[in-house]
Amino acid sequence: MLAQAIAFAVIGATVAIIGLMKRPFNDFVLGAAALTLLALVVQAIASIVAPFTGAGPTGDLLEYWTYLLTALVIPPGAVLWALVDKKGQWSTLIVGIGILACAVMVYRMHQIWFVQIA
Amino acid sequence: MNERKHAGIGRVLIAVYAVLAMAATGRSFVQIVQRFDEAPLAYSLSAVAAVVYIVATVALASPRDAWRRVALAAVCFELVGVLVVGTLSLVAPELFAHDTVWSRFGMGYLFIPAVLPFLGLWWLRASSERVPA
Repeated sequence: MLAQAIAFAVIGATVAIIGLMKRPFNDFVLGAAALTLLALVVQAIASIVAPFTGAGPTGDLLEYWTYLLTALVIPPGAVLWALVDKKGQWSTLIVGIGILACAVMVYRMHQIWFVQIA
Repeated sequence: MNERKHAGIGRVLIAVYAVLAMAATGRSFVQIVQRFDEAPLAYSLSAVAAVVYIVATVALASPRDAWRRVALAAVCFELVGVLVVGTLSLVAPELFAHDTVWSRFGMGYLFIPAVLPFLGLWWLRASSERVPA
């Protein structure tokens, strides 16, 4: 999960920088968002299966799923927005920020699942 | 040209508001469901903050003039909230033993809650110059 968070951060930052260079929304950006969503879906499936193999979370399950479900909404939401707003030159940046937000959320999920401070 | 530029940057601002609104809503949902009795004040505040972020997102996204005033009110409320709660959480930490979005000036959210109201106010002002009220 930590690797995933870092990967999201790198992808998100890349897309955001492309967005700041005012490149229009393109297939690369769409691919980045799709990859993020795919990784989150895989994580969701793994999170459902893992407890049955005895590898459940060390932290709070409700908090974990709230983060995961919120994160799952972001990539499709950002892409949908970008497609609706085709003329907007900022759509790419919005998708980048969305992926960065996913990175932060996955990092929090990592903490909830593996690391307990309290 | 200038008008479109403002609208574009405004969209980025709205997107950031939307993400923060979702994060705040999710968090306060978990806090209230699980341990509301531990800190009713802090968690009620979390919920209020979440609702205000949602209102601000919708109001900023709407092009209508009436919503502009709502957006202004919501953004000002956030500004006051983050300043008051941020200060109190440092000066009187026993009041806010449990975190809210605004604790320590939104440090848990990379200080975004402290920066956003200023950007929101700036944008409302910049965009009102082209649309006479």
